[in-house]
Amino acid sequence: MSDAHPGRGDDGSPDGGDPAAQPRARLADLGVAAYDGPRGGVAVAVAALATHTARRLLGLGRRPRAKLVPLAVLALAYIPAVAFLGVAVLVPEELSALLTLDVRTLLSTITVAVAVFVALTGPEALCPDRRHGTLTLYFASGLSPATYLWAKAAAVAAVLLAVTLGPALLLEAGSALVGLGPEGALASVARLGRVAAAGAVLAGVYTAVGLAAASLTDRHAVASGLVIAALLGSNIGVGLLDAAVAAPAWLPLLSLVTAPLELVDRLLGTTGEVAGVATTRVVAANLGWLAVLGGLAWWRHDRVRPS
Amino acid sequence: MRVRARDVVKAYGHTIALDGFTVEVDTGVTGLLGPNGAGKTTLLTLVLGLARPEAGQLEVLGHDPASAGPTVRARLGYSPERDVLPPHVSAADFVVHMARIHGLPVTAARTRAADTLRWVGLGEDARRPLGTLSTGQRQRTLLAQALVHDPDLVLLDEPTAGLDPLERDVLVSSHLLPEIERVADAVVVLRAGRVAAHHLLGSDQATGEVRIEVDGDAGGLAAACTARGLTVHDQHAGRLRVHAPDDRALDTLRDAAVATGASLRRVQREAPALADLYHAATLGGP
Repeated sequence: MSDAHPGRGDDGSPDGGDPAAQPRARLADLGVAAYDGPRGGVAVAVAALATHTARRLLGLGRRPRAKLVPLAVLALAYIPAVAFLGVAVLVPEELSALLTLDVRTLLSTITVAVAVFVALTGPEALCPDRRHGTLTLYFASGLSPATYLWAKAAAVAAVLLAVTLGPALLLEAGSALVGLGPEGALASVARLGRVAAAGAVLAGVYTAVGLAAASLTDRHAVASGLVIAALLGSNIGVGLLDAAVAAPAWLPLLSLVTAPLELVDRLLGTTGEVAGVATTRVVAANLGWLAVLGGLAWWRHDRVRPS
Repeated sequence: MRVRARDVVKAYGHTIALDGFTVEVDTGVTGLLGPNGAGKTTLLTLVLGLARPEAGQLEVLGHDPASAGPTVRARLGYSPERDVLPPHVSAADFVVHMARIHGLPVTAARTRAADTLRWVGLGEDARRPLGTLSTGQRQRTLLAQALVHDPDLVLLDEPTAGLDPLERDVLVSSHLLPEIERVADAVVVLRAGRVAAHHLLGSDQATGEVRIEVDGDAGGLAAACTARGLTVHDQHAGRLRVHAPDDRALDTLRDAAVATGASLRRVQREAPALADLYHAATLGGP
């Protein structure tokens, strides 16, 4: 571009020097150089999108107001477990035994926090991409509607696992450490596995609810309303049907609140309000919900085209 | 060959968007011209592998985009017509993110995003949220995200800025004829889902006309050319235009000049005006 040099004569030589003896510097406009470094495939793209989305859901790199809900929900989820363990450590064993808090109770309590989190924050995973049209750019990359949704689901589920799994595992591990857990190392490990599965069930179903609701609209507030309507509506609808007709025993599994909690119960070795239904049907009901909600989200995104 | 389409048909319900579309797009900048509804955006959609043609064959960078969509798209850069940028994110962060989505490692994504944004002319403004940038700056950001991963082929849908320095293989859809004429090596004109014209700009294939200037009067040369079967237009004083579409006709023209002893001052292929080509292609009969 330019080969003008401070301190040089018109011929480009240093003042008073031999021009032939001095190499001339030269600036060149290279534009954007070619890139021949490593390129990841779809897996890298999915990981990048999932990380980016998880950070947004947690409010990282955003305004302080965006961090408020995630932090509040996380605090709400961890406080019961931490408080119980504190009591168990600080007060005599006899007293702490009276203040029992089992994982089932904890997960039921946390479910409220999970629902609030999914309603308030979950739409952030999908709605802005639709609203701003950024989805067009994602689908013009190596991502497809399916891999895009997997990335978003991974992000939402990872954040929800921090809410459903973290406190439950903390409670279970803490209980074992203060002598309130099952006898023996193997039993403790098996119990932790069941608790992890229970947390994953809650996170999975609520992730599907959040993504399905958010896929129907590009407005955050509308998606939040849809999440609440789906959870409360299915629960109220089942309740009304149950009271009005001689409903089959499996009817409560049509409630998005009851179905995952019933599976949590089965995983933890108990039964909930649909005790008369086989566990395979409970599993099938939850898989059905995942298929319906996931299919809805996929169908909505598979129709996106450049505009 | 970057894009090869043969008898491609694409319909949306009863509306036929592409109707036996056949074209080959080679290296360089290719302009995609046509009125609204001619099928330009549909073609880009098919090239991106986001829709499947009902009939015909489409090959992009050696692959069928309908079956190898992610593989093809990983090697494409795309800048849509619509503003699709999130307003609360900085241009720098957004371009880094898109580089990551295209599979670049973190460090390379940051380096290339900075280089690309500087190259498109965003500079320090790249740190500002996209919602605060001007329309032109947002256009440049779109261009940067399309280029940041060094794609093999860039698809630009109605860009309004930043075409000048693109030394890449580009398929650009536009209605700005002067802009396309300035930067494109070739143009494909679409009409009603078909290729109405396909020209290499600046080449001798477009008109076949040769502009000639001689010392003195060109009447003798014009007569000699006519006698040898060439068509002569606009002969005036020392100038004339001869229709010489191929090398054989040029040889005949040379022989005529030798035979008449004409002193040639200028022999130049005549490039057609893109506007003329476009209007002839889009307003011509079926």
